[in-house]
Amino acid sequence: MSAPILEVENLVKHFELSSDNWFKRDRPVVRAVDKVSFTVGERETLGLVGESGCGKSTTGRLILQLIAPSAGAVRFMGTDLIAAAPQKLRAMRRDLQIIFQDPHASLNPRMRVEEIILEPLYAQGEKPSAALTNYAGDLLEKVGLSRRHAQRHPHEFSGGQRQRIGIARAIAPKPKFIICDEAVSALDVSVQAQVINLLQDLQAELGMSYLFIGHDLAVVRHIADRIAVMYLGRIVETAPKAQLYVSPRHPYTQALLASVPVSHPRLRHSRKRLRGEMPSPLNPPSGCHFHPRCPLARDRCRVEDPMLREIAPGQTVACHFAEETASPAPLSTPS
Amino acid sequence: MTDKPLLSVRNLSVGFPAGKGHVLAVNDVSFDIRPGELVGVVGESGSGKSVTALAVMGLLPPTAMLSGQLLFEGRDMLGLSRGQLRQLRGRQLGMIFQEPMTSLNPVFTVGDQISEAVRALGGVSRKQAADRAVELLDQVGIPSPRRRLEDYPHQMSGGMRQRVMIAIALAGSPRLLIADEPTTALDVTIQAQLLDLLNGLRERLGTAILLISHNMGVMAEVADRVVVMYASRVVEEADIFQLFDTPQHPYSEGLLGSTPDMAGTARRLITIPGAMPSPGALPPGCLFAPRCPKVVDACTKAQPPLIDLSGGQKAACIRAPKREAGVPA
Repeated sequence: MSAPILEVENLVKHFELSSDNWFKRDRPVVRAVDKVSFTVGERETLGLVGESGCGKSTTGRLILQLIAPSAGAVRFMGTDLIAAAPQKLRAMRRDLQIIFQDPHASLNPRMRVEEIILEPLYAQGEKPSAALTNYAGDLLEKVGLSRRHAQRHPHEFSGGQRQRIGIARAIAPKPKFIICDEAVSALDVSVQAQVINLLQDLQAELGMSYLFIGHDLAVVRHIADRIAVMYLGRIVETAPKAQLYVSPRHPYTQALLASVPVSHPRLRHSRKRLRGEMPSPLNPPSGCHFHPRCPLARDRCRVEDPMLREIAPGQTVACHFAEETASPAPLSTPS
Repeated sequence: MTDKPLLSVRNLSVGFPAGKGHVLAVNDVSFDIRPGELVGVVGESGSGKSVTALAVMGLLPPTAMLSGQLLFEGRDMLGLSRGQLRQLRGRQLGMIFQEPMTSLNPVFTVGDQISEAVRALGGVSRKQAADRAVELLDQVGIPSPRRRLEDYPHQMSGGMRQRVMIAIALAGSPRLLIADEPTTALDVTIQAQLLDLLNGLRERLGTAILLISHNMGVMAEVADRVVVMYASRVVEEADIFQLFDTPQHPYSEGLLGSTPDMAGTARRLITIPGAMPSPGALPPGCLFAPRCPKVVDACTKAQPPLIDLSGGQKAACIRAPKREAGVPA
């Protein structure tokens, strides 16, 4: 694998809530992101998957320093973004962009498309010019829109077109890295396919890396090279995608994959469903966060946090009993 | 399963006033649901699938203009009085919506809201209604149901709330349950649990289900038969296996091709260029023609009718029978 462009090490974010009891000083803490580590290589796409509330979007925002991490390190092209001075951070953002989920909320309705697309460059101190206007037109064409769209406002576009505008804005400063935060989740399937293909074409052409945050495992499988699975603020498994989808080793990954709707009615079978729902991150279970729902859970799981460890080349799993999960369908046997 | 349909939608059209004229959100839609059958209606936003569901429930706003027939066991629901319709809705038809957050009243307990639905059917005491509420919560798989009666909606997760919605819809033991995108707002593990629940209801209670969804995977998971809608019209109707093996309408094919699958084939996604036309500016002829990869001149001349193909499959495409004869597309 190529040298990492992004290294995330023991990233932690605790959100303090207001206390129920006015007299009590200690306030409840949500551990939204709990010692998350991963790397993303050059031209690589890392998929970050998990259910709502697992901390995947918070992780994306922490990397960009849109919210301040509580602890940990984020190194981007060798520079620690957390320690970086504001000017330095701003300069680094030229190479580090984000595409948001909601194409209706992420574009300023009062701005014209050209201003929206060029905003990241203006933020870097560039001044409006004929050359930039021309560049905005080029960008629009690159994302499959037309130059004449530059003078319009966001409300004149459909959801898919708006997402293309968001993509044009993200690639405007020629970044090396883009965080796609549920970038295609709000789109209808035929339009979603267009945007996925566009993201793949742009990556091939511009040589960018992606952190692709998503909850749709089929979409993530389609676009990612490597995948990290999050559960309640922690990464429970990482693996190259071929390995993750064929031989997942964490019981949560296995259950998650078993929940994805089949791609053909012939593949219907009664599968062992995951019991219950994800607990609140306010009061996560002791030991392995997954143990209350895990078919393999034993006493050790209730007390001891499992560490991520390499179980096969390139595949890391945070499960005490990962050696036992290799059988093809451990979840199909009732516990 | 008998062959006599429970619900027959016949040439249903629904228009809404817009500017000086009106636009058709649903245009000449026909399909049947037999007892115990799970029929899916699939399509993208704006295809008219939700309006179809609301029309069947009689829940459209008064401004909506309806034509056609909605036959429930042979009786046209469009001719019923409000009172008769209300009776039918309680005892024969139940509905669940996409948003379990907004469909429940935040200031009443879950128990109150289920009991209200039970008592609206008449003839039960408060105590009996509460007992029935416990039974219903148990039926939809909520653990320790008696304790959960006192919960308010905000104390429950999205998946739990959707189960409560299903419990309310089941209060009158309806013969037909209409589910409009019931799992769209939910995580995939919860979606799987709810699809299992719907399947279980059908098996245990024989409830027929009309499932509205944009997700082909959801259809593959539970549907017996699927109606594919595009820009207010039905473009294809097929048995679920027929639809996945031999889709006859290019739009169905496009929908299947643009859905990333878990088989992991490293193919490029097939896309349907462009976007669905807005109901106010429909193209002439076949509504899909401007986006269709197989378009021929004749397509823009007239709207192709939904024609019967073999095995109960229907498609509204002038090229459909050709492919059936084994001629490659």
